[in-house]
Amino acid sequence: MTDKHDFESFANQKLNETVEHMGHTTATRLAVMRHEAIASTTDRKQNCFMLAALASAMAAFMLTWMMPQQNNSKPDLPMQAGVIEDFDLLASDIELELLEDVEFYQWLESSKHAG
Amino acid sequence: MSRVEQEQQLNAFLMSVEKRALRMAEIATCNRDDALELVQDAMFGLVKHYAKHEPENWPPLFHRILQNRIRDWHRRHKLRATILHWFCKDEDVRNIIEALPDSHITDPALQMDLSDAGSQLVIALQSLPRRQQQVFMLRIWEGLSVQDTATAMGCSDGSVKTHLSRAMQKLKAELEAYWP
Repeated sequence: MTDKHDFESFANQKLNETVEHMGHTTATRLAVMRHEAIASTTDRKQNCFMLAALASAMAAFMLTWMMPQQNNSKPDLPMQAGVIEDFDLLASDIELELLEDVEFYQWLESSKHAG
Repeated sequence: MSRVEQEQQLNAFLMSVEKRALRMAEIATCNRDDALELVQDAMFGLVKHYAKHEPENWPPLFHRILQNRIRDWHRRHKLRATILHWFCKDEDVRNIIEALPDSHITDPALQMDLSDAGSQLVIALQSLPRRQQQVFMLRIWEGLSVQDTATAMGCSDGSVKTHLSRAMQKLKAELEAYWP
């Protein structure tokens, strides 16, 4: 064995002795610290789950609150009604020529009154 | 890997390194309470950030966290000393420093029941520059590879070899009378 390896094994042996001579109190403190560290992962996961649950509940509440608001508010209803009437006219059996005639007579009547 | 398995593996790993880690921190800081705090920080850091990494990567990661904490501890102490020097009179600083535990005297608890050779080794390690002390502890005592030691220390493989060579030279010279 070389000097280097001799010295390494000597140093390792002496340092290991320092660990073997560690008191029970210190060993217990280390064990407690270790368990706390490992338990922190579970706590963190539980916290994440709680946070996700809270966020979901908030989102559900917002949705339920927003939905009736949307149903009650119909700002473009008159326009929608007008469009529907136009579609009704187009879909009906009345011919377009007749409608044009009616519009012409209405114009003639109004121009007579104006004259 | 299930959560229970992971916790068991983490527990086994931390149990295997905790005592040596405490000694490393203690030799670096000369203060058991501070050393315990640093090891605790390293444990929490590993569990928080690296628990999902492969277990074979844990040793260099754990030691990297621990060495970073030790470095921060030294910086804080240096900063505290600088601030004291700026704002206090020389006499006040002397009184404060005298009241603090001497950073060059080994913790008596560490030396208790140790042979002379063990005590001398600890004292010699404490007298080494921080990087040389780190590399010796990680490479020789902890048995990390050159690459893992470099990862733990945040330096190149070449630096690890250089620091180790210098540390070995100094330690061998200082402990010549104690090893066969």
